[in-house]
Amino acid sequence: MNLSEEQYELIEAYLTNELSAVDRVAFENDVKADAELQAEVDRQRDIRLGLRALGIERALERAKAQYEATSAPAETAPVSQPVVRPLVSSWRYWAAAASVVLVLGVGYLVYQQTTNRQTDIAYAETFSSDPTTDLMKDFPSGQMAPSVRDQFLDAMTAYKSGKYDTVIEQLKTLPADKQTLPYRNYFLGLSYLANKQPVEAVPLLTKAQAASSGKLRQKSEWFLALAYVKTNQKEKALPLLKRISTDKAHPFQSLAKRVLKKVE
Amino acid sequence: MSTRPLPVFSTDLEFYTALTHRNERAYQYLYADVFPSFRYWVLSNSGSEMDAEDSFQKGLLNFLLNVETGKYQLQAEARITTVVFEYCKRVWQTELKSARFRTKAALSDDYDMPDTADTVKDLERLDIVDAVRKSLDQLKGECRKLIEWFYVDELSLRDIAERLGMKESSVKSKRYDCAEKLKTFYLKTATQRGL
Repeated sequence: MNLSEEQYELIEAYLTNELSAVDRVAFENDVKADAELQAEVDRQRDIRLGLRALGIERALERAKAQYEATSAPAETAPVSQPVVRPLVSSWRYWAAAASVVLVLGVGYLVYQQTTNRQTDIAYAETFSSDPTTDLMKDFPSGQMAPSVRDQFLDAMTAYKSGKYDTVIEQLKTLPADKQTLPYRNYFLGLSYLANKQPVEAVPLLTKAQAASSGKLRQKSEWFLALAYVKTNQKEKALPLLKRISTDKAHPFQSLAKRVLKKVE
Repeated sequence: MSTRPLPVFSTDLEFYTALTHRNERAYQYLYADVFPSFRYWVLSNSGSEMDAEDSFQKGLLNFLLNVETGKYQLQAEARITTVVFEYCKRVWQTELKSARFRTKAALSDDYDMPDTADTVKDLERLDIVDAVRKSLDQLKGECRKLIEWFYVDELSLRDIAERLGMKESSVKSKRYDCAEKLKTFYLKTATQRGL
């Protein structure tokens, strides 16, 4: 059965439970009265089930890889390890995490032999000129709720193992208030970059840049510029790089000049 | 040293909710918590390492599909990890029950074979998954990206529009065109495979 766009959208809405109760009943009556339509709905349901399963499979593959990377030889049954977490509530953790993300991001990017080599080198140099202590000064000194702290520590553990997917999952659900949101967006953006997902990094770094000031803003705009380069959005990368390269007070001025030269 | 994911889910409800959202930490926890004991069980029941991995993957996929489609609902009296073990166990029992394994596996006469009808149905569903996988592979270019992003990765039309530099309404129309193409490939594959 060849579906019109309207029929397709109707089936789509039905299968995703987006029809109103009245429309749903009406549609189900139509289906009962039309064997061909019934077969089409079944077929569409099967295809969607298959696609859903592919999504689950991909997530499972990533989880399996992470499990294998961290587990002992399978001969030994797992034993619960007591988790000792430092009872420190401080935004220093955010700073430490930033440095880890940068290390991992740099590792991946330097390793990757791509046409974006100049950008990758810029990443590496960014890290070398970005001691953790510098970043720490920017963080708000407010207390974190214990649950948030625990989630953050989990994310830290994941950073160290290079489990970017896990980090992203954790940071995505990490509660953040107005004061801390830019930091979360910044970290999440960097995690996406390290996870070879510059497209996802762009909106987060954009938000971080818009809602922050000082060094966080400068770092956000620098990485945003690099994310634009990575996603071939030259028209967006250029004004940012130009602005950074003409700002004498910007810590990434010289790097921006070099990347700008390459992009232009 | 064995390292397990942190027990970050304080209740089964929290764990279940995470699974419904395809949370990878929850998935990873299933591997860490269930696979070692399941592997041991398969090895003790006429299976190999490969059988253990294969059955575990299939059992997990069946369980997670049932979670996402609502066929499996959280039950207060059954721990999720126990249920997952049972799903995987039934996959291997179904394999053992099949003629292929019946002839070669050294099962004792009094081996208690459970009714695996539901599992058989779930496993048949995986044939559909495989046909869809093949059909998706036949889609090319933007169509493939769009279908993958929308149905596999579950991105919104808005996000896809941003990625493709298109209007949301155009993406919606394109989704229809691409879904119809996918259906054509799927029909062909399904017919060839007698689905």
